[in-house]
Amino acid sequence: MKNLVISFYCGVYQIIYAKRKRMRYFVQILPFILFVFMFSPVRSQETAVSESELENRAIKYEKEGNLLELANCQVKLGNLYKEKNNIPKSIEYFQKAVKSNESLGNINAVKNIYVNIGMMYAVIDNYEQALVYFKKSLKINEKQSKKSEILSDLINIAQVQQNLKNYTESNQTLDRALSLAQELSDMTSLKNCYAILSENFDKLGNQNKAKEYFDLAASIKSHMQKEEINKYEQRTKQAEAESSVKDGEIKSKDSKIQEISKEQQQALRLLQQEKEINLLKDRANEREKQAREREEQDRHRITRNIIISLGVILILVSTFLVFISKQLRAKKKAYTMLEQSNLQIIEQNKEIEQQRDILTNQKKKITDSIFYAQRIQSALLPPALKLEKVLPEHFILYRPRDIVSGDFYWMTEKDGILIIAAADCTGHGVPGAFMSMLGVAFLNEIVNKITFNKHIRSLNANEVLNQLRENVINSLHQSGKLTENKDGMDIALCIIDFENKQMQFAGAHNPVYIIRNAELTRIEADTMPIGVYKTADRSFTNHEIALEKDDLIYIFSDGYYDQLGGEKGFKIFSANFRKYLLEIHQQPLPEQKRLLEEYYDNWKGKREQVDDVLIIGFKFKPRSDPSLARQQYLWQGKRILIAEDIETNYLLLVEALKPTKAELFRVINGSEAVEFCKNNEIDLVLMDIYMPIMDGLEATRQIRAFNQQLPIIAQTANGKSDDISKIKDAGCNGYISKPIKLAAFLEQIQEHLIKLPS
Amino acid sequence: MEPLIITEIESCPNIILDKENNKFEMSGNSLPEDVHTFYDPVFRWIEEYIKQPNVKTELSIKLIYFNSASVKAVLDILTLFEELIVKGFEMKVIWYFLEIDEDMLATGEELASVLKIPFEFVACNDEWVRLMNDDA
Repeated sequence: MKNLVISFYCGVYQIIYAKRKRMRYFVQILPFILFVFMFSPVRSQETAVSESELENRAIKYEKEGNLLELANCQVKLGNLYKEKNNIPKSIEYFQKAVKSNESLGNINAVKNIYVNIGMMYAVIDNYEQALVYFKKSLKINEKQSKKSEILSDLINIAQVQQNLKNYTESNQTLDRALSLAQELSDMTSLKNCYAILSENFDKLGNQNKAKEYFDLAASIKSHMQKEEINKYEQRTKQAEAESSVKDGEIKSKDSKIQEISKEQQQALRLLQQEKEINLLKDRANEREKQAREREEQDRHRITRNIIISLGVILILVSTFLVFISKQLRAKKKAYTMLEQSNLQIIEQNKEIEQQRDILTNQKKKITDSIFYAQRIQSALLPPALKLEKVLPEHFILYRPRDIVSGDFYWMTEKDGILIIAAADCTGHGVPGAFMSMLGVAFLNEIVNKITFNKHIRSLNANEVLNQLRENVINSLHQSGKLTENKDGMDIALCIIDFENKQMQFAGAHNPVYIIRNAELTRIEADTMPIGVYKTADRSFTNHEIALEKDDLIYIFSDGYYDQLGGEKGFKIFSANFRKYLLEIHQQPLPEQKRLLEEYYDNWKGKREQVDDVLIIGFKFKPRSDPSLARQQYLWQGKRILIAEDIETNYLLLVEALKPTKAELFRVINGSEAVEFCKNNEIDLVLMDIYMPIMDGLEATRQIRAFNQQLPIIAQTANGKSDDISKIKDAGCNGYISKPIKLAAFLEQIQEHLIKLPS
Repeated sequence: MEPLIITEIESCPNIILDKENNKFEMSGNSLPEDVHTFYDPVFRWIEEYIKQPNVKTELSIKLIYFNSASVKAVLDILTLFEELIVKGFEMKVIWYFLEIDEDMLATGEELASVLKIPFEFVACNDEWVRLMNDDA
């Protein structure tokens, strides 16, 4: 019971002490020492001795040379002054005690006193000195390899370092202390280490770590408290059990006594006379009385035991209350920390939201600008109408992976020659698009430059690619060095001569497929790109292919058949692409496009598109050569009047007649035509029938009134027999149906012009 | 020399360059967003390696898909390794491709045609890709 009171007292002392000095985690050496020097039973009587008495004794022992007693005296004085809060005096005597003990060679005592001095210095906020003494103690303990004492020294040092604001050093010290505490399974030290760490990190501004360690300390603390409570509960139970055992013993004695008295009574009854019975009864009564007294004595003992137990329980409860209040405080602190971190999280969330908004905004800006770039890119691609005109049966499957594309197609048509190309620049998205712009610009420039000097007919496909490669290398300043940019493009380029049914092909990596009579022919490209390459000095190969009517021609980038997908995540592969083309080649071209897209989408499934996709397919239709036709007729000096009110019809005629070098005049109604013919020399009139003011038939009749020789050829939109007879009746020499067929048209005019005596 | 091992970067091949264990391998798909960023450390490693190479170097290339920019990066890698041949070391490329993938074979052949490094072509069936995907 005494021990319990002491430890209870120590606990209270600790709390008061900690409150006073805000140094909660000094290891319990201070109370421990108090215990040793002040409460140990042997010396307890001596505590009453006054300091002056002790000082006298010290002087006496010093004179006598009784070092052992002197040292004891000095320690007592140190403790006494400490008690009386006279810290400088206390330190003075402790230091003296150190010297005495050193002379005695009592290292252990010296060490303990060092700790005490350290404590005293800490109490008066002289942390530098405190550190010196704790370290002295540590040194000794290290020599002695006393782990648990090393541990307490380390914790003291860490605490002092914290007070000195050397948080990082303190943490380092604790690092060592922690591993020791773990090794020794010293829960209290572990808790103290965590607590100091938490405060250090708090001071260092690392709230996360601070909270982490705080939680650790708190959890150890509550664990320890639980254990303590368990222990006390167990002790209480034990005490209860002990008292109940005693209770039982008394009862059993009681019953034995009763038995004995009964036996005796019986025996006496049998053996003695009735006279003696009363006497015996008296005696028996007396014995009973004695037994009752003994019983009472035992009862008394039980009550005392119960009182002791109650006392123990009372102390336990008060200790428990102290723990609870500590825990509550810890909880409160944890709660405030939690609140703080909540506030921080809210702040951080705000920040994240702001950043998200900024990012969304930026993304929108970038996407918007890419969308705008896409408009520019698609404006550079050949317009659909132009393609429609040159290749009536064709499709273009163009699917950029991103908004803008690294794939592009390009075409130009001149004098019955079509140049068409499908290209694939390295990269996709914006970088690819940059390259594609370069490609388009270069192709335009190259073809213009070459055809400036010579006729487009003499242009070779490989020549275009060689030139393109040179331009790309030069403009990107590619020198062929390793690690510099190797950007460039792959391309398939065809030059198609519609009249001569010839095709030239040159390719950089990308081939051309031709399907004829359900058979697919592959014309391979050169295995080098447009751009810097090991074989960039080698010319591209020029392939010449004779075409037949309805040949199907396909050029493309590798994006289509390189698409990953299917069950196994493979590419489509070019072999499968060819197979599928053959399967669908008899479908009309727009339908082929739809089927190819469907096939691609099914293959791709939910996967991402890996690259830009481009396929161009078209059916070859030979043309009779309009320019050749034009070249056959040369009507220089001939004057032709065109009576036509509709602008586009007039322009078509001009277009058709210009190459013949005939001189052309225009009027926009019948009466103007009559007037013009009256006043001008004209070799031929192309007379539209339906015109405002005066129609073509009336105009012809009026012209015939003064000129029967002039060839007048009517133009009619419909070839109805009614109209034809009316035209003849009006005096026209012939008629042409719109839309005009150039060859037939020119032939007819030639006929009428030659008829005339020139 | 520290080995360079790159695995599980999206759209990038797995790379093992391990001088000590004499293992050199590229596998998977290569379609990085920025080819230069991905391959630069590879170039740097090889540049170091060829200063003090192993007597015999065998580079296994097991690519299923690579975009045109990656083809150029592979060519650069092989051009660096070519230096070994020039210096008189043994160097060889083992080019794995799916039987059906003539494009991959063609790419390998094209690279072989412009390099002094001997190539061995190994046609594989579907199983190979499955195994490789499992490895990755």
